[in-house]
Amino acid sequence: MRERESVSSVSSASNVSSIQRTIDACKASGGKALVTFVTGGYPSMDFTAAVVEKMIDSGADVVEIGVPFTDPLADGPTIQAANMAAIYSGATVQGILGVVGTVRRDGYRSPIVLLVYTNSIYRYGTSRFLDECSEAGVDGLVVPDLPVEERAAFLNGTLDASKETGHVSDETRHSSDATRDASGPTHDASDVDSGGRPVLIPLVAPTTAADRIADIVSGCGGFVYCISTTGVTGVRRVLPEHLEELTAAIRARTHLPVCIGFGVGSGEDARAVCAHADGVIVGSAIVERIPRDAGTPGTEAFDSALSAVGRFVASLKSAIMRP
Amino acid sequence: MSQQRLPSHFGEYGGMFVPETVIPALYELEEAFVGCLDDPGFHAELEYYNENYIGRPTPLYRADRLSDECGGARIYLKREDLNHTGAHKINNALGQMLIAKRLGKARVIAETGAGQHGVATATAAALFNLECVVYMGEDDIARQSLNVYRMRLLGAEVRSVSSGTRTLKDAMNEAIRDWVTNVRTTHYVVGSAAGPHPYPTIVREFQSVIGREARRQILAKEGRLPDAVVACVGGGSNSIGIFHPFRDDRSVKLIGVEAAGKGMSTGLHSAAINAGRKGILHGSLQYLMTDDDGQILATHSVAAGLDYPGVGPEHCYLHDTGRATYVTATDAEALSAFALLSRTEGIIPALESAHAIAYVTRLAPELGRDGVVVVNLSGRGDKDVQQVADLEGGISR
Repeated sequence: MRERESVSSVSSASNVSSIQRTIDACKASGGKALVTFVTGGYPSMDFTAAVVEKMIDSGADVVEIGVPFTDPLADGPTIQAANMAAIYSGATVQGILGVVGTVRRDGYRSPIVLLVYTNSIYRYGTSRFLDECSEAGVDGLVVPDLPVEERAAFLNGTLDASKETGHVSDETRHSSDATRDASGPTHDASDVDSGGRPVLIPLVAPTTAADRIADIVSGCGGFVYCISTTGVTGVRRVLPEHLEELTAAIRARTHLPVCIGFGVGSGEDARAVCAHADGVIVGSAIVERIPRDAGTPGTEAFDSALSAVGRFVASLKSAIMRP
Repeated sequence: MSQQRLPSHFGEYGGMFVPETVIPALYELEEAFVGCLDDPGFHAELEYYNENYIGRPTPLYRADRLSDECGGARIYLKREDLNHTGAHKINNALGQMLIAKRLGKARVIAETGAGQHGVATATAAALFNLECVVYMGEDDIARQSLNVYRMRLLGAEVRSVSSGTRTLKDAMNEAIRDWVTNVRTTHYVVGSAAGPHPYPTIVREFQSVIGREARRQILAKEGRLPDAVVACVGGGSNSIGIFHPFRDDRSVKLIGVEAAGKGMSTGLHSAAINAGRKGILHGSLQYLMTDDDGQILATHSVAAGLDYPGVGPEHCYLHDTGRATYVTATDAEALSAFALLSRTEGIIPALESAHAIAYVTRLAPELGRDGVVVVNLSGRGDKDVQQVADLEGGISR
């Protein structure tokens, strides 16, 4: 439809990311996409490399790897604990990028996305991080604490720890001033998706007003990460009821596919959520199936955790593919 | 897109680096805050509670014995320890409670380090009949148990946080997560000058009563402005409150004292500005104790209220532009100053405020007998007596 095309003019056919193509392909074959999440480096980098491949082999269409952070604001107890354990085991940003490189060298072409907080990117050096993501084969980024207001300055490298010279502008400013330059409909997506750099996956929450959605998705790609509930990550007993309304508001403003995440604990949940979306994101329910002692390759614990995740992912995929 | 009404950055520092879920609440808060500032009724109500409930204005007291002991400038203490609840925290908690009422929220939450902000929030919540939950790190609960009991007496629920380092930054993480989950019914009463916009501005606004009074008072007593205004800096609320009204008085040095803990070289400190690295935590770009992998470092200070890895964005800007200077005092220096003020003036300071006193003992002789220094005595030290006694071998000694 014409209206949708003009709003998301940033994603012309040649700029459509591999993530979006993958999800659109699931749709085209009458099914839904499964996005699976694990915390990188939990309980070891070896396990992460193996489990990413296992999840893809078991039916995951897109894999999301969390970059461990000591203070993950958007995460509940399951992923918080996995983060701390990963950090304690020595997980680093470079280690995670290394895992992605390994998975690519092993021949896996499925889209891989990193879930990463702004401080991790900032301290690494924003430009360096984005470049090394491209080199490693990362297709997209989900940054839970980067709202649209802060995006332009952050991604365009004006905020960058590697430029710690103490130089600062004299004026206090509105962050929306910087963003206003960057997020009109004519904005070129190249700031976030140039020369193979990962796309930025936009997040929409149940509290997001409809008139904010267009600004959020502008300049982004991959899919729209629709947060199912007001809350942090973690499996929930009951999923919310307003999803249809929220996804409708998103679809009216972009032709990026919509995936719903937070709280999905089972095949039934995934199926229910996919009634309104093009895909579902499952995180804590997978991480819960990975015990802390599963880090050493060749051990019973390692193999058994891999199998448990594989079986669970396969069951999720089959639940969402059923007509 | 929602329009910001107030600047959300101070130079490059500050911002709203939080999950999308709470962004609308931040705009709602900004809107309500601007509405309050424009409303004479709000100012009248705040003034009423400041005068009749908190006990403002607080005295600016000339500490002659301390000044003589230091052998230099005349030292004036801004007595925020005399506020109801014993610290400057109530200035902000009360103001934010009025905003929460205006927003129609039935519930408030807070994070707390030493417990003073938790007590202040519980106090104001009791006054206005709002449900109150305070998040406090497990380690802080152990060292400030008097304040925990006070909060419960005041009707608040205190939730222990056992994740991470079990101190202030982890309590703030949990408070933010609670807010993300309960955003529609809950106002988050941030206790310091940190956090996402508009909090640093709101906290500064309510704490500026300290500096406005102090400026009037020093002009009345000395007939001139002070040479320096000194305050301890953790998150930065008492300091920004006393600094802000002096910002255009270029002859007045603004000096913040960070906590050097066991010493800067040990890494066991919480002096974010002096450590010199930047990062993003709790919604704001700031000077931050962080490593190159983006992990937040564990911090240490004998003063729980200074034990925070970051610092308010406006302080970062004041540092970079040279308007304010940030120095440090160690645990040992603070403990010494704690004893000194008690002995010379009969005032037991909070360990946080003792850091400012410690620096003043170095500054006063440099300024000489004609100098005038104003120090923010941000709180009283009753809450610290047990801890200090334990450090010195127990109360019966």
